Amino acid sequence: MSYAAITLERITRRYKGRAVVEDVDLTLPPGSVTALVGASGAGKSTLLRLIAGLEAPDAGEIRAGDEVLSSPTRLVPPEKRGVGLIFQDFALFPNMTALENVRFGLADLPREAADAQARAWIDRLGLAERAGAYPHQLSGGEQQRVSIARALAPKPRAVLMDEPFSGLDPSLREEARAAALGAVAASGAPALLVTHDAEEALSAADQVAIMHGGRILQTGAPEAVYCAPADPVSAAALGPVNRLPGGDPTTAALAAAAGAPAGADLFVRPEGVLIASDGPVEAMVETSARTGPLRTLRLRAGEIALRAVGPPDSAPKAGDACRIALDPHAVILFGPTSR
Amino acid sequence: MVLFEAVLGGGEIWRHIASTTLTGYALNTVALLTIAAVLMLITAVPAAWLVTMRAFPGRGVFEWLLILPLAAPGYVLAVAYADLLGVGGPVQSALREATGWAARDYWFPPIKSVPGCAFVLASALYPYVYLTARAAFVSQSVCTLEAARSLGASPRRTFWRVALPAARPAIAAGLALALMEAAADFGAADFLGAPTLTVGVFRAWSSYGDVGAAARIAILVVALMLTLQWIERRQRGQAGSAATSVRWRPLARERMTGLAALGASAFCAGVFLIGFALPVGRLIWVALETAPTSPPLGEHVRNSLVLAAAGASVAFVLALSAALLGRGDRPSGRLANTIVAAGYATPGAVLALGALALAVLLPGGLAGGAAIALLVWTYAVRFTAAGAAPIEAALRRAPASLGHAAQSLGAGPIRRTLQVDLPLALPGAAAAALILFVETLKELPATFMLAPYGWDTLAVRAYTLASDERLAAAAAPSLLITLAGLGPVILLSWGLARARPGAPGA
Repeated sequence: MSYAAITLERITRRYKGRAVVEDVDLTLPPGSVTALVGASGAGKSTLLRLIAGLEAPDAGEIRAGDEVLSSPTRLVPPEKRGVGLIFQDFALFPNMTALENVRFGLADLPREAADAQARAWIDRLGLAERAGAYPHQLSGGEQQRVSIARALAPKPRAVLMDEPFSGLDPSLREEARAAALGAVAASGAPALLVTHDAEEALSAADQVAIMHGGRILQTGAPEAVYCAPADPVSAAALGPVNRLPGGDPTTAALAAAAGAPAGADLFVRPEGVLIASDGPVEAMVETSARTGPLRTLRLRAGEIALRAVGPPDSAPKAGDACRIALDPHAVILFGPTSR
Repeated sequence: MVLFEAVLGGGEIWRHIASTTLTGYALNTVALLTIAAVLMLITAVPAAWLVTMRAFPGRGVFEWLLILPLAAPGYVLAVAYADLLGVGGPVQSALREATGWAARDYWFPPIKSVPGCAFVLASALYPYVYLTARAAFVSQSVCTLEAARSLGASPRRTFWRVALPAARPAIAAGLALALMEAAADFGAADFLGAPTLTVGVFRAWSSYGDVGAAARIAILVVALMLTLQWIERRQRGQAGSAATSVRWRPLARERMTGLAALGASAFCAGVFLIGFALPVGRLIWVALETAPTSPPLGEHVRNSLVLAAAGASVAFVLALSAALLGRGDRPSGRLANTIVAAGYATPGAVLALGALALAVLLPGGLAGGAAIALLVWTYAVRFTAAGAAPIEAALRRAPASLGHAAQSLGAGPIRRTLQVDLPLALPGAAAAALILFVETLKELPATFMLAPYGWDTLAVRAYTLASDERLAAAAAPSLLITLAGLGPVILLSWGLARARPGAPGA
């Protein structure tokens, strides 16, 4: 079965006159996962509900291939749309077993065929032993796999996931994510993953879209958006970023050494701040803490506070003085309109 | 129908009532509600505060004992108190024996008066205020209370400045609900000689036979009820938004010692004794004393069971439909909710009046089968809201994502209702069925006005015996009604204990 891309064109949704989703263009290509990233209140969940048909747009069009799913005049109801949903709270029907939950979406098939397909999905997600269990008897990870099997079993033309991993223990999350996104990718359907976890977006998605204030600010491959964000908000959405104000003498010295234009605000991610004995500027190490494989440093250079990372053993400790430079390839510049 | 009659209704008797007794009805209603409100506030709110925030001997028992008066309808307490406090009753007899006075040598507060009726209704209905106040105190954030204490506020100041203002909307909502019940009461008010507007509706119909005049009074009653209902809904809305902290911890109850602990126990014991133990104990005493001579009740029990089963069944189907329709924000659901709520706001006497007006249009008039059908219809209209509430609560506990999941899996509205919503509603449905059965069993005015000859229920029997001053004979049917009422009350208190945030298993 071949899948068509889901296309959103100039989608706008207002509540009481206030636009919560405004003029959004987005394409979900088949066989790939698009991560929708943004702070809470950015309009991510509303956009997902619009694609699912749970809400109607006030303007714009949502299409699957050439077929119009949503427009202000036409709305294919959610139950006719064939869009799979995976929820943060899993939303398993409490009165049905795992198998019955998965079979729920296969009502169009004859009983035996539905049973066989549901069982195949249960097996594929490693739940063969748990098919007869009710949701309250399943662990969080198992519940989530049931909800994925349930969403994928009817062969939806798109899969929408609303923060599906944030309800899981951090220790389970990575494994669950691999299993879930593996199954979704194998299905070949276009997928949307709503998340506020930058790391999840970077590691799991084929495409990221940054949403802020109801608008999509930037869309692109994760690494491209991370390294070349379109604006400061997009930069911050995918991880911490240092801002060095243009008029500051420390900025001027660092800019000159890195070959960056003078007078402009500079943005640089922590890994672009280098501890270098020949660096142009001296900085004080205020804190230095081991955060996983690396050490995270908070530095002060003149008026500017900076965040940097360093190797766990050789990086300076709190109270040390060190010299710093900027990695010329890591400096991000925005146009004069940037905030 | 009532409205229709009110507009077209005849003038002569209405003018008579309007010029003579209408002002009295209205003043009595206002006085009754005011006194009852004060009594309920000064007992229920402190009791709720004590059992939720303080530790004292018997606290755990009082927590649910204080709900029990909900089991006894107002007219049952009225019968018991008329017997207890009447001239020939044990209290005044003991007083005369102790002092040697004769009956006319002293003044004793008359129970058959507006204040007496307010006292009885407050005893029967204070649990509404107690329950909402208790729920508000339980669900308040411990953090805000601890913040107040850490900012140097004394426990007294914490109560008056932080806890009470936060609970005020909930208390007001409970009070409005209790006052709705008090204003709709017919049995106690009529028996205790406190002619309120609701009693006026009945009298205009029974003494003057004027449905039009009764309907005009009924409109005043319904307006009053809708006002109280509006207050209740408004306050409940505010109560919902009042919770700002979502972190629950078990309440750390402050231990009371010495006289204070004794005082707290005595206060709660007093409220329970007056609201339930004394009157019901008296009824048991009288019923046992007169058991050999009292008339048999078998026929009334059967009538009660048959009518309650029929009324509850119809109301149950309506309640379930209304609750399922009300899921989601569809216009049909909102309309159903409005109709159901309006029925609940209309006193039984007024609904019965509407049914009587309808019966005139029937070819056979108010004959046997038609009368019973109308009575069952009246029960259903009156109580559907009471049955819909627990079902809606069960549905609300399920996240909205379940419905969305069903939709995204291709389930249309009917399949979703049958396979997803209905199973979710079932835990509430059992409670709804029980509540509906007991409410119907307790119903007095509509049954009295509509039931055909030979169909007297326990409630009607208790009321007519009491009206004939055969108080001893009225004790047995009153007790049976109270006994039936205990079922849902125990269920309610059990549910409350489990629903408390921070409780084990919640």
